[in-house]
Amino acid sequence: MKKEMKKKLIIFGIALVVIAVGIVMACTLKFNRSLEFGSYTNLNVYMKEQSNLDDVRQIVSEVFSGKYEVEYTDEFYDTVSIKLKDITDEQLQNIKDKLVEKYGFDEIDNYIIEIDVPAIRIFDLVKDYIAPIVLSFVIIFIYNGIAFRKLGIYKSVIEPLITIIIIGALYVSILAICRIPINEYTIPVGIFIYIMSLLGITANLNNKSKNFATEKKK
Amino acid sequence: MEKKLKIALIILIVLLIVIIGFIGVYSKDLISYDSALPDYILSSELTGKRVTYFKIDDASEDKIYDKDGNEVEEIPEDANEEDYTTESVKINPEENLTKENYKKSKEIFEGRLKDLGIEYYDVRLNENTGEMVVELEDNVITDTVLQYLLAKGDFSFTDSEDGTVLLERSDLKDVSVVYGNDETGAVIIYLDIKFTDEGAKKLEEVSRNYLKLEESDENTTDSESTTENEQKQVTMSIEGTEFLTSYFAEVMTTGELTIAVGSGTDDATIYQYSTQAQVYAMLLNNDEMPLTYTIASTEYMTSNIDTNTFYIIIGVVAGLALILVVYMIIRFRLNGAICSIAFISAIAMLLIMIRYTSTTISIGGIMAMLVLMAFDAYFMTKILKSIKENPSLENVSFVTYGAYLQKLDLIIVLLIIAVVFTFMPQVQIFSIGMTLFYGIVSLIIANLVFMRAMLVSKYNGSRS
Repeated sequence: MKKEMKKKLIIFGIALVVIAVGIVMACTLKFNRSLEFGSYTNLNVYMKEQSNLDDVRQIVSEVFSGKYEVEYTDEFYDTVSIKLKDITDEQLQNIKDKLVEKYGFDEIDNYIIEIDVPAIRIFDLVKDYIAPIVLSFVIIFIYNGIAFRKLGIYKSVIEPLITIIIIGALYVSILAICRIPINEYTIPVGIFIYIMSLLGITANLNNKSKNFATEKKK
Repeated sequence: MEKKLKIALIILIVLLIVIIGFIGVYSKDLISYDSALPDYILSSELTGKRVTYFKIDDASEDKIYDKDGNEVEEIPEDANEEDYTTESVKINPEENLTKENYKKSKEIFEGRLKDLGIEYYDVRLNENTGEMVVELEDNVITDTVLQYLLAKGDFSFTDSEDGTVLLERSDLKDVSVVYGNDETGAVIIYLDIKFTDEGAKKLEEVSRNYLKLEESDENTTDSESTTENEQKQVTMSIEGTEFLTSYFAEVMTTGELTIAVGSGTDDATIYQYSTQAQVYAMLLNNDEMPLTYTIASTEYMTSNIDTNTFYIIIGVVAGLALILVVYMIIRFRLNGAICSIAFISAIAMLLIMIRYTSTTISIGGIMAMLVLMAFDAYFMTKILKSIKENPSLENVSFVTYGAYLQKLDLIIVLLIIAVVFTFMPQVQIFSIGMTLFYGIVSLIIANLVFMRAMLVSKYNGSRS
C-alpha cells in the first residue's frame, strides 16, 4: 500500500510540475498556432486569367522567408489567396510591387485586396465543446458514484475527478511546453484523450470494485 | 462437418458485409456505374469552407434636412431647394466605432448563425479595426446566410400617422415561428412574438388605444357638431420594411402577439413564407446591429487536410487496425483470427451505417473510430485470455456474453458520451456522438453474433 501511495505521489508531483511549467509558458509565450489558426495577412489577388501558383510562390519566397500559403480561391483559378504570417509592411509592399510588375496590374486596388485576419480566440475554439464535455462528465461521475458507491465517495468520484482534471491540464501544458501548434487536430485529439481517460478510470473502478467484493467475501 | 459449414456460412456473411462496407454496391446506369449506397459526407474540416471578410462600411450617404433641421427623405417637387440642405454623413459615425460595438457585432453575427441552425461556423474579430472573418460551410445557402448577416435587424412599432414609438426592441422577449390551418386547410405561417413583463403591459395599453372602433363609434353626431373618430392604426416594420399596418381586434392581455406572415397550400409557397418568418424571427431574437458592414471579399478555402493527408489519416487508422489484427492472430492463433474477422465486420457495418444515416465524417469522428478500436481490443483480449485459460465450451459460451456484462460500465460510459454529443447542434460534435453510437452497435452485433457463433461452433465441434 505504501509503495503504491509513494508511486502515486511521485506521479502527481511530476504532473504538477509539468502543469506549472505549462501555465507559465502559456501566460508568457502564449500558445503556438498554425497559420490558419493564428493571425495573418491575406492578399486576395485577382489575376485576370488562369495563373500558375508556383509563379506566385516564387515571388513570395523571394521576399518573405516566414510561413505562408498560396492557393486558388475558386474553381476558375483566376484568383489567388496568399496568406502571410508575421509579415512586415515593407515585405508586403515588395510582394505587391513584384505582383504588379509580373502581371501588369494598372490600378492595384482593383486587383489586390489586403485583409488582416485576427487569430482565432482559444475560447471560441473550445466553447462549443464545453457543454457536451461538462454534461457527459457530470452524468458519468454521478453514475460512477452510484455504481461504485461501495468504494466510498473519495475513490469513486473525487479521485477520478482529480485524475481527469490533471490529464486535461497535462495535455494543455504539453501543447504549451512543446510549442505544438494549435490546429484542426488539437480539439479532436483532446476529445480522444478525454474519452479514453474516462474509460480507463471506469475500468479501474470496475477492477477495484471486484477486488473489494472478493476481499470482503474472504 | 456441420461445424465447418456453420463457420463457412458466417465467414461468407461477414465477407459480404465487408465487401459492401469497404467497396460498396454499384449498379449499371446506361453508360456508367452508380453507387447504390449513399455517399460519405465529409465535414468542412476535410473538404473546404467559405471564408468571408467583413469590413465596416466607410461609405457616406446624403441626408436632406429642411429649414427646421428635420430630416426628410427627399425634397418635395414644388419646394424651394434653398430651404433644404444636403449633408454627406458617414454610414458609421466615428463615435460608433468602439470596441464595445465591434464585440456586440460579433455576438450578433454568432447569434444569427446559431438561430439559422448553421452547423459549422467560426467568427473572428479584429478588435482594433472591427473587421470580421466568418467561416462557413460552402453550400447552396451560404450566400443567402451571408446576406442575412449584413442585415441591420431594425424593428419599430409605431403609430401609423405620426410615427410615435409605441413599443421598442427591448420589449421583445422571444420570437418564434408557429403554424396553423384555416378552414380551407391552407397552412398559415405565423410570427409569434412574446414580450417581456414591461413590454406586455405596454402591449396591453397600446392594444386598448388602438382597438378596432365599433361602427357606432366612428361617427357621433349631435346638434352642434359632427365628430368623426378615425380608426387608429399601428405600423410594425422589420428591416426598414413595413411588415403590417393594422389595428387590434381585441385587447392583448397575454403578452403575446401572433401575426400571420402568409399562407399557402403548396409546398413551395409554404416553404417561402416559412423561410421569411424564420428570417424575421432570427433578426428579432438578436439585437440590432450597431454598425453597418460590407463584404470585402469571399473565397473558398480548401482544407489544410488535402487528399494526400486524408489518405494518410485513413492509412494510419487502417494500419493500427492491421497491427491489432496481426497481434490477435500471433497471440491467440485461430481464436485471434476469429475475433479479427468479427472486428473487420464491425468496421464494415459502421461504414455502412455512417453512409445510410448520412453521418458527417469529421476528424473527431475518426478519433471516435480509434476509441472504438481500443475499446474492442480491450474486450477481445479479455475474452481470448479467458478462453486460453479455460478452453471449454461452457466457458466460451459464458465469456462471450459475460465479458460485456462484467464490463457493462464501460459500455454505459461510452453510450452516455455518444448520446450527449449526438444532441449537440455543431456538426463536429454530433459527428463524434453518432460515430460512437453506431460503432458500439456494430461492435456488439459483430462480437455477440459473428464472433460468438464462430467460437462456440469451434469449441462445440472439438468437444464432440
